[in-house]
Amino acid sequence: MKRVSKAWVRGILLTGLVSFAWACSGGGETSDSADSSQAADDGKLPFKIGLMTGTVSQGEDEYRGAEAVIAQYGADRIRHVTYPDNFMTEQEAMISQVLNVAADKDVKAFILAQGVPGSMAAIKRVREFRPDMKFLVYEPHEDPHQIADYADVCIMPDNLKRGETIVDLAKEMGAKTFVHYSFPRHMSQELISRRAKIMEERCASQGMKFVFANAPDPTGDQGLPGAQKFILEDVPRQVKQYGQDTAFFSTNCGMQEPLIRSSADNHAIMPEQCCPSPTHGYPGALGIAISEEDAGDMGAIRQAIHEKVAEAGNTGRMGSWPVSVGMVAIEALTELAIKAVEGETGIADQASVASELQTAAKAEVTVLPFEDKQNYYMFLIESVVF
Amino acid sequence: MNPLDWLKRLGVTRTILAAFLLVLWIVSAVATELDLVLLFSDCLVRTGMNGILVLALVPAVRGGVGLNFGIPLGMVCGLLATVIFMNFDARGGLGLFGSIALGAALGAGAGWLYARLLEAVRGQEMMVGIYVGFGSVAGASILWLFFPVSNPELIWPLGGEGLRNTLVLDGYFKQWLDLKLAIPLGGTAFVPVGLLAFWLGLCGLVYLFFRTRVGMALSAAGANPRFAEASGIDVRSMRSLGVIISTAMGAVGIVVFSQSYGFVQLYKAPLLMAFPTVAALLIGGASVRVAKVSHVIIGTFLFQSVLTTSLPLVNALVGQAEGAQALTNLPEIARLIISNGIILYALTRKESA
Amino acid sequence: MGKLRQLALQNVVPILFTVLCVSGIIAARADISLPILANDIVTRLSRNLFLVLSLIIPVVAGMGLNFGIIVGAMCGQIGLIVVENQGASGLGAFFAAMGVSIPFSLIFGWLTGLLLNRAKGREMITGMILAFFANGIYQAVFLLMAGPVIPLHNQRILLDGGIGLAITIDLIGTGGQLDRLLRPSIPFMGLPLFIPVATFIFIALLCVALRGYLRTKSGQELRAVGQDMHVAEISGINVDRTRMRAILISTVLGGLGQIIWLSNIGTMNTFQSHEQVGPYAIAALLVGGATVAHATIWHAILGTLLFHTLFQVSPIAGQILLGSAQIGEYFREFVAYAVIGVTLALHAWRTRRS
Repeated sequence: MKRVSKAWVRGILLTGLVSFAWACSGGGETSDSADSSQAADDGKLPFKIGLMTGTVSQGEDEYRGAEAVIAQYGADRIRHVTYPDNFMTEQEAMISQVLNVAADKDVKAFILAQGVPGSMAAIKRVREFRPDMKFLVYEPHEDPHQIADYADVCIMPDNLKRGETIVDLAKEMGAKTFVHYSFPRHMSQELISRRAKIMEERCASQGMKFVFANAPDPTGDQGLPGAQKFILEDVPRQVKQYGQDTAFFSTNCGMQEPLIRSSADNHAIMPEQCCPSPTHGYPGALGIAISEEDAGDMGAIRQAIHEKVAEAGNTGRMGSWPVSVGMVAIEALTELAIKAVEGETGIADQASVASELQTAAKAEVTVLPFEDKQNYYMFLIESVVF
Repeated sequence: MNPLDWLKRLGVTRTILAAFLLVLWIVSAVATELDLVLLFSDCLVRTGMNGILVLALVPAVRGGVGLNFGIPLGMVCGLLATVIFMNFDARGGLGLFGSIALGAALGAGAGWLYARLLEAVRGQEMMVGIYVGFGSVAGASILWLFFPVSNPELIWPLGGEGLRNTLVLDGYFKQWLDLKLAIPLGGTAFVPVGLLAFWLGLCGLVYLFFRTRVGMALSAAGANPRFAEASGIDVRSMRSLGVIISTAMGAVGIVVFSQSYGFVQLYKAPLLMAFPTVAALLIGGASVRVAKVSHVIIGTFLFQSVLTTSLPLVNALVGQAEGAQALTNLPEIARLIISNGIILYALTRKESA
Repeated sequence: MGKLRQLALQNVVPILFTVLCVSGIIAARADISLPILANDIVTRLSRNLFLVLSLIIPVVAGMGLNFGIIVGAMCGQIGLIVVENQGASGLGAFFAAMGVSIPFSLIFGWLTGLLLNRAKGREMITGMILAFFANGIYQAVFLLMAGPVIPLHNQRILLDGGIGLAITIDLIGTGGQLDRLLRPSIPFMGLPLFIPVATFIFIALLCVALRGYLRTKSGQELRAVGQDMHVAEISGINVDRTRMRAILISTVLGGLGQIIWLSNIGTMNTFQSHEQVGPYAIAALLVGGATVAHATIWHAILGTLLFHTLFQVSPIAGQILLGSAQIGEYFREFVAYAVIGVTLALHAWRTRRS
């Protein structure tokens, strides 16, 4: 008897769930169609664009990039969602978010920034019922050869070329030794491990010593605080061993703040962050104060960093890119997505990718295809030294 | 006391770990160019900065609610207090002790609510605690985004609202305790006397507390609730008291952690911090039911020192082997295996005592 | 009336979750597409149910929630790596991966069991630390030895240097094999609703087997140990061996479950896919009304359904209620964690009432 009644309760629960779902579905449908019918004639985009970024705790740049395009095109035209902070282990949640936005028939293109693991799976699933959906990916984490087969356009900073430019910049800043912090999980990403090799070779040809140092994985047992504390402890050790003319580089975003801080304190060299942008690491590490009216003003932010670096007595030994690469990429991809949906051909051409990036960055951008791929590009922006 | 007795009291696990640490130090001294003094100074700083968090677990264990995995709740309170004081531009000792006081007060309040929840889930406190900890970190993330912040050093530089991921304590109270009375050891190395004194002072207070009538009643309620009830102790309020103290000390602990670290880490940073904290206490010889102040001191020092020493050591050893590109991943993997292996060993040893 | 109240009390956790799911759907109705939601829920059920079911046996044996399941998941990944390395493809490859995973699961499950038997009363924390430890070994094997020591030769899954596995592996051979086998669709509100029947049959087989097993003598012993270790010991049951059996079963099933999960997703995060297995499968089981001491197949099914519906709906609901995309994401996490805490609290409160 007890068993039967339990089954009853479950049955009621399930039917309740399903029927509620049915009941409220009407509302959703009508509001959707109302949306699309009026959209065409008020000068707005006649379609929507899906956009997925990380939250600000992952890094502010991309989220603000999304806010910028929303401000431009309206919150009803850009459907913005975020992927989980621990995206490495929560692929499922990320895929669901993409699917749900893609279910909106007005969404014609989707921008994934960054293309965290699960992007390929998400694209595959969406194309099952929306074969026409355009996918534009910024900084794909997955295998470059594989994702190029799924996405329409992929762009990312030219991390291989940066292997040379960063070392060269460090050399210009006077470095004699180059310390590269990473950990196994990152070194198993193809582009990162290839870049480490390029850096090592470049150091050899520039007559610098290359030191590969391991740091704890921030997703490991000590967590992010443990990894950051390690950086704060290890930089003075390395400086003691190799002298102040040592350049530091880390592959992990979370380590940038302690790395910048201790490079400044120990008068070491910090040529560029993992993801180059004045807003990545510098404000947090140096306690940059940004007044409300200056928020988002890159010139003011660069100036503030400049002053703080001078205060630390490290002028000319710290660098980055002049603009936020995440924001630039999202703005450029949005323009490309609009063109693609409007039927323009050749959006994946090198020339059109380059021109959109240049417009967004308001600076000279070098764009090169990755190996022989015709839709996977890597770009470089001239460095700024503080 | 003869050395053999002393070893016996230390326990097999601690002896093994201590021996392991000694081996690490000897190898660093003999086989590498690592600066042993600097390494030693790092170990002491790390011990001091984590020590209060580990100590915070003791009252909860004594009160009979087991290992307090909900300690991130206390940390969030401490972070909130720090942020409030930083927002009002309180610097130096005022900022530090103000944050500690306010953090402890907020922590006690949150601890009171948390204790009521734990009272409802007797027997499952640790499971509930884990999720309470996670939940409070996620809830606090929403709070950080909405926090009405006015100090421009704390605001997101691009967005202009909400708190940054990382707040710099430079000019506020960075290493205020660490550098008080510090004994310089040359270079950047030093003995953080102020920090260690503050921690050991708190350890002493907790020790003395358990000698008072209330403290003894708390221990009795945890050790044998029925007997305690029979002898007229209000077991429920004693257990709650343990949780409240634990949560308030968690708040104090994170403020001290942050001042030593030099940064205040918001959002996801406290999420997993309960685990190394608990591991340190267990390594010190505590169990789910028994925890002493001596366990805190030994455990924190051994655990943090092994973590601090092993990675630079293995880095240096591998770095000496020329052209070992294939081995670049080895140090971190070795550290992962060694340090967790030793914790596992400590957890699974059948102790006679 | 009293009976109804009692029933409601008994099922207070699932009822709470149903209310949350429904209100989430109502709150998010403008931004949510029901056919997609339905499709996603069906997919997630087929993907996760096997893993959740693999947790039941240790709960019955009183070992609590088996965080050591991650070891099983790693063994499942070993199976997939071996098969993908051979370049095999098709349903056979999928089952071959399962076959390969089982001996590994047995060996590592046995070691896990030895460890957990030495840590009675501390199984949970031991299981968690074990997961970190095992992760180190797993990285050592597949980053340092894959290639030179372990004969993996398929360039598609290796890093460029030929040493170490790539961080993501596209499961070309094994991905989606079981799901595609029999996947009829029924029209549902204008879009096809795909149902991976073959996967569900596979899961149903496991349910029947689990049910059957718990009724055998060995299964009864498990229950006895779970209820009271000392009483079981006195009545002549070998407690350590019984607990070992529970962990072995759980580890093997965890490996198979991970293969189903990854095959459905289609790509494997070589060094992290296994980490999420424990917490979420455990949460789903609890949401279904299971407790640390009592878990059934129904708890697993209902819990997976409710938990994943809520996981899907809550970020969208949060975004609409609180007005920003990232708050939606924090809201999802908050709901997931807080509600599990509340679930446990409710359960304990209920047991004490009765």
